[in-house]
Amino acid sequence: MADVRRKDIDQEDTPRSRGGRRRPLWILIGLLAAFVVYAYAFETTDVSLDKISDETRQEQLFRVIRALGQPDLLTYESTETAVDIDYMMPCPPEGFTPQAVSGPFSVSVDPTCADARSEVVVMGSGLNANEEVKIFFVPPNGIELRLDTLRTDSNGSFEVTVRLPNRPDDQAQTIRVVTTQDAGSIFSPVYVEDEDGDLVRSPRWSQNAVETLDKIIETIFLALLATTAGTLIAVPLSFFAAKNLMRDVRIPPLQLGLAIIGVPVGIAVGLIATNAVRTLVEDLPDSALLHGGLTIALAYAAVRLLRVAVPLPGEQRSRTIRVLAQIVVGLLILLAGQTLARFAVIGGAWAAENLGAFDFLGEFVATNGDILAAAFGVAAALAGAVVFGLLGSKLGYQVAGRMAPSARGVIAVTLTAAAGALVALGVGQAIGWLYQIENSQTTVVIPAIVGALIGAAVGVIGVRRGQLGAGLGVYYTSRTIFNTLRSIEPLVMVIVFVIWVGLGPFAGALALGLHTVAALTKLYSEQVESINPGPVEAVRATGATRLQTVVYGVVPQIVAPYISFTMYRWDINVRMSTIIGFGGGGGIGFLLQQNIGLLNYRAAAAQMLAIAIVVASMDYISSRLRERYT
Amino acid sequence: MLRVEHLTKVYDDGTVALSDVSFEVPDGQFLAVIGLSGSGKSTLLRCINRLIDPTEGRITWHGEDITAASQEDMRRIRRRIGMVFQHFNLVYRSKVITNVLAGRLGYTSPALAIVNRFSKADRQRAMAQLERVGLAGKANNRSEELSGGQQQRVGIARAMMQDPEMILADEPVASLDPVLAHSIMQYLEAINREDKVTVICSLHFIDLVHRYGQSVIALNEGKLVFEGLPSEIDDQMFKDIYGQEAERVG
Repeated sequence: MADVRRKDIDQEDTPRSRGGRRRPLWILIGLLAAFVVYAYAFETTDVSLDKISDETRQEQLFRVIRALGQPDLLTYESTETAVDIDYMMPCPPEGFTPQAVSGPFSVSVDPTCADARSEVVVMGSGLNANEEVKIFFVPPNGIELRLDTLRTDSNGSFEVTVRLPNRPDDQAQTIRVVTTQDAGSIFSPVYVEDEDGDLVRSPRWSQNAVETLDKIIETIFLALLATTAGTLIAVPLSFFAAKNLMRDVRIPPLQLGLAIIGVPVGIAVGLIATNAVRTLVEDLPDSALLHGGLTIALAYAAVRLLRVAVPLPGEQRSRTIRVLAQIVVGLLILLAGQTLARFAVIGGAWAAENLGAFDFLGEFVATNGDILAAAFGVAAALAGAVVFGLLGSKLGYQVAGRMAPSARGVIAVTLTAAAGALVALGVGQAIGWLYQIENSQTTVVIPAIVGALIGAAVGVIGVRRGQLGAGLGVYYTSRTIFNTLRSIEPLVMVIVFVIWVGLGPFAGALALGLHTVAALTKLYSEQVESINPGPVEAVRATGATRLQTVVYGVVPQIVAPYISFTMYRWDINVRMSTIIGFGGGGGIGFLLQQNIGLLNYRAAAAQMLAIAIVVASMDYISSRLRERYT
Repeated sequence: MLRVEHLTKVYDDGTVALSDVSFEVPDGQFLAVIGLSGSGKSTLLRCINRLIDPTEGRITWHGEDITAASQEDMRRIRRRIGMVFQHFNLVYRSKVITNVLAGRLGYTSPALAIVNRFSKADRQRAMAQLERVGLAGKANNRSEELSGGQQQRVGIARAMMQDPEMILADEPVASLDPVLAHSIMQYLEAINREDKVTVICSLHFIDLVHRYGQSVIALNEGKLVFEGLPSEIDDQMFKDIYGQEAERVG
């Protein structure tokens, strides 16, 4: 016994000590490998200290940084101060001494008179430092001839040699020195006359500042819309991408086959019903009153009938009546949706015409009417898919119960084969459309056969195991789609949307919205996966259905993290929407890109400042809100 | 009568949790299930209401085969089987009353769940159950604000909302101190005596088994090693169930 044990220890020990002896070698190899890797990284990224220390480049850098430090936010009206000095040209025989000049600053010319086209020295003092000075020669006709433009030195003085024009005259002429100053300051603004003689405030917000404000507001609302739409879509989808919820969804193959076949049937029924209802509503006269009244009446009828369709516990209703009531309620809801949409479109258009400055409210309502009409079509198609899928599953369950196991197996495989063929047909059609294949053999026959074979194989497995993990199938499919979508940056997505809906914030909102759906679905579903399974199990044990289990066991646990993630996403979207303009998606990025392209760094600095302010305050608000809700 | 026949559960990773377990529980009995942690007690209880699908064997209750029941049948069967958990398993973020009302879900139309609606009768019943466990004043508190013993009483109220004919209690007092343990066990005993509800309760402490159990089964590594009366568990029996090194502590 003791021997054996010692042997074990030896065996364990030997390889370790061997590894120990080789360790320095491995470390050396590792270091060498790291050396090569980083050397190559430097090579490819073009790391160069020469460029960093190059003086002309530094000069340019400083210029840009200084420009960025002075964002173009204010415009000053300029005021001019002129000091005139009499000047004789040519010199009269008796000589000439100009009168002493009175003005805010003193000017002298040396000599005090001279011949035309001779050089004279103009001097001034008592000005502000670094002030712009223009020197004019004013002949008797009063038209100013500019001699020079310069800036004062740090003492507020200047001295410059100018050449007089060829305008000899025996009267005294004038040399005029004009300085330009910004009128007013931030703390004491003044009103001055502009070129048109109107009184304007100086300083006032510059054109660039106004545009920046306009665009940053656009940016915030773009992010708001993208976040809202993305959240609304991501919340229901996230449940399908949560493994802990989907893992237990197992269906016998026969039911699965019928359910899959039911889905396209349901979509078709939903679309047909919506179209029929829409035509019906569109044939009605265009009266907001009529459609509003109809909406209320239909909604009321639907709610009343709902009590029949979904009886409260304890109320007994025959199955036929319930099902009939459910169908009628569905149709009533569809009708009410369409009349509500019409009401919004008509009412919104009326409001847009009559509300003046608030016409955007009317347009908002009208556009939402259109969105509502379209959304009801999509919702009806989805509801049809769900209802017919469930019906298929239910029918399968009832049929299967009355069959001998062998017959059940054959029918199950047939049905899964048909379902597989159906799915593959859809994929085949999509591929055919994408690559513009007109060949029906490639888009119909081959996919149908392959799909049927795969479906049959899945069916056989299902028959053998009794059940198929349909939930896991949905989980992996949705995860794959969302991961792919998420890996495409919104800046890339926006390019596609710009082609679709044109340049502007709408394209940006769509791109951000799509990315939000993908990103939030992942974050949300991970929250669902990390919930405490105990309460869910407890709710399930009470006999709750899957839907009830989610509503009572899962949802209360995820409300807080969902809110927090939504806030975080809005924060991200505000940041993203500042650059989405680089791709043509509107918002402040558009301005920023333009100004950088024009080398107008002071204007770009204003946009950067705006972004920094918005992002910082969004960050602050969202962190405060998240603190409160988690 | 609940009849368990040749019940076997092998998990996907190959763990054999139950192996060929058979026993019967007459209606109205208080059955204690004992055994070490990992001996299969929880799996056994969860097989009875099919929270876990057994690998082999049959469970029949009132003559109905639970193991072969469809999803719709299971809903009907589960709503008559209340369950109480070691970690209470309340939805901590929800109100106490909502947790109790959840016990009615098996009777409620799923469509109503979306609008979070329960009938007036259900609400009154929930208040009555809370009163019975002495927590009527806490109805609108969040469940996470309650102490452990209070949470377990809410768990019992939730189970009682189901109008159960049987209650499965999975170590209902293992996370509570001894005083609270007795108070919880007394609620279960009252439900068993007064409401004639069958109780299957897994327990850790032998003295609780002696005090409350009418009948005992013992599991060891998934096998049924004892079936009989609590008084029949002597020291030798105890060592057989818990292993030779085990010492009686309670």
